[in-house]
Amino acid sequence: MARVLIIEDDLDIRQVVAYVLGDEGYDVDEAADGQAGLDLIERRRPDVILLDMKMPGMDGWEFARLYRERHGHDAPIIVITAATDAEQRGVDVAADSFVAKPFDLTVLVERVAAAVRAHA
Amino acid sequence: MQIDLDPATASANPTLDWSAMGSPAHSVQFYGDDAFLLDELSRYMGSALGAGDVGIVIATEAHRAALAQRLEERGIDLARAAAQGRYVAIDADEMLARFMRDGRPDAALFAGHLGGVIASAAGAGGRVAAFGEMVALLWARSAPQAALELEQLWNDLARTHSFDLRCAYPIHGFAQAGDTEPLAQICAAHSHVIPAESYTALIDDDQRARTITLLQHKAHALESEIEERKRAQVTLQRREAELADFLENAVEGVQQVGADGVITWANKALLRLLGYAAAEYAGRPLCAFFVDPAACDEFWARLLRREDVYEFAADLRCKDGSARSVLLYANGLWEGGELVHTRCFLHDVSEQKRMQRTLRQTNQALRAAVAARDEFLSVAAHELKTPVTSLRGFAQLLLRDIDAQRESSPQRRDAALRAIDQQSGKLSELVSRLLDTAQIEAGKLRLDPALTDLAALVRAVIGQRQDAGHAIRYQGPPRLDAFVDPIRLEQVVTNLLGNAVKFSPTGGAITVALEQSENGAIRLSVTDQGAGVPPDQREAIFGRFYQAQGERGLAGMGLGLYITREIVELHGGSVRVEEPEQGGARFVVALPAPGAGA
Repeated sequence: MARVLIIEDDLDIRQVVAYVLGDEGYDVDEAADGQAGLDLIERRRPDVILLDMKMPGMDGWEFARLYRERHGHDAPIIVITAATDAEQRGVDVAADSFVAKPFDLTVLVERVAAAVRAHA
Repeated sequence: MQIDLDPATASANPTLDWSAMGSPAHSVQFYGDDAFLLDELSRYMGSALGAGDVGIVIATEAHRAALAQRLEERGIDLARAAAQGRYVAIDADEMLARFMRDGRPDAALFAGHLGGVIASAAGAGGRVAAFGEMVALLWARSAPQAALELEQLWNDLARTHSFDLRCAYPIHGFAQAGDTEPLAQICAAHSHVIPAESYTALIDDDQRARTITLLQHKAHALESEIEERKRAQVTLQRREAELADFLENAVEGVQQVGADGVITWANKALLRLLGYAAAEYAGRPLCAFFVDPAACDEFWARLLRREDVYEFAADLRCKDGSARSVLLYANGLWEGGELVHTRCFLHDVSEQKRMQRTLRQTNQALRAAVAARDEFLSVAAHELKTPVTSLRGFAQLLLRDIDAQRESSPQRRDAALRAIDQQSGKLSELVSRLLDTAQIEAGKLRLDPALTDLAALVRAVIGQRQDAGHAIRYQGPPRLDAFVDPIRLEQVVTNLLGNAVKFSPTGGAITVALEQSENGAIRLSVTDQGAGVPPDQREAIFGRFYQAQGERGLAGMGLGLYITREIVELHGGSVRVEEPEQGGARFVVALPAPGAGA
């Protein structure tokens, strides 16, 4: 089963994403900021990364840079952002796709599935 | 005018012939040329000495020497005549010195000296012919009154002594229009007047009559000319005064600078602009007033290159030490390759410069405001979208279970409802703050004051906020009544306490203190053990959109403290942040005593 890592500082959003992806049969890992995400990747390699951009501590930009540096263009990244120009945020970090907050769970599930298919 | 001169018959003029003269006279001879005087004089003295009479000459050294030479040439043995006491030559200056006292001839001294000379000469036998030019010397020394007095003394002496006296004045000594009256007086003091050579050289009455006619015409023409010139001069002076007045009272600054770079004159507008008195400005080098001496050097160099300097921007130093921004317009007046002076006009542009500066600053402030608003919109969007994402996510999560006809687990239901409740509360608070801000900006935030127990209000807020993370303590009286807007004051306490919880470490103590001073003023403070607020940000945190970067990322929209300050100030109070001795932050709200403020 594919493994999804969600990096998001808001506990409620992390929780709801974990529930819905769990329902879809994904193995979900959670991290509250970029550093926690990097630490987790050392132990458990994700197939897709859901990445929030604006976070305290290490933000989405910094995480993406370091992740690529250490792991190459490994797992696809899907940016989830509340920014008014969500698409640009995705471009900023060369993400595979993006989801704008507040998102529809069906859309989120489709994006993750598409990323997994493309990466397979 | 054509005048025929015939030296041979010149003696037939109205000059007084010694041999033809009867009783002694006091005559005056005017002359243009020294040679003419000496000719006349040698004829006069020569005929007297030749007739065996006595001659006395009181003249300048040059005239005495020249006369002696001419008399010798006439065959008169002067040495012999002098030895016989018939020829007496006296220096005019020396004789003057003997009787002049305080610039005036002394009658007694004159009578003593000159009476003695004449009496002694008369002793040699015969009539006495005297020539004197002491009066002419006095006239030449601009002492016309002394000259006239001396003429009178001669007349007095003639009453007691018998002698014939001839005075002589150079006619060019009467060149001024104002000399007419003294000339008339001199003539009146003499029994005979002999005009200068231009007239005495004329041969007969007909020529003299013609000459007089011409002279009358000339005199008339000259008088008209003088009148004309006087009028022209008056016009010129008036015009000059008008122009000077024009420049002096010009609205723009005008100044003249000499070829040496020293200011020679400046008008009122310029002096007023820089604040100097005329004496403090004129007479000093122009460059002394330039804030930048190098600019003055450049300005001057361009003038010396004969440029018309146009709109030269410079800052000039005022008397009060401030500087004025001006534009200079200048050029030089050149005569024969030499710079005479420069005319320099000065236009004050300080006001324009100030306005440009203000405009630039306003522009910058506006750009900053626009940037802040953009940033705010971005932050507000993020803050609003985050709770909405949770709300929507959990609602859809439960709906998906229903759609899939499966029962949601109790934990899932519990988490979803709790999140929906919390996030909708958070959203509601954000919306309230945005609306409050909109009201504040429109100046429409209003208070609805009522008698309120502040102690109870504070305790209630603490009760709502009490959680496991922080120890929140109330310190103050059990009851404190105040006339405030209870809803707005609750908002203030909630904001401050919320910040204290947000920005202090878990387990940290938070104290909310309330006290009333004797005069009735109320002090509410919230003290935490967090990182505190750096001194340079203690004012900025109350600004709109200011966002503190909390260690746990609890940045808000930056409106809480902005709204807090507005509410407190609407109550007539003030709010500030300080650092308690033990560290952390203490927000202090001071409300005025009832009746003292708004």
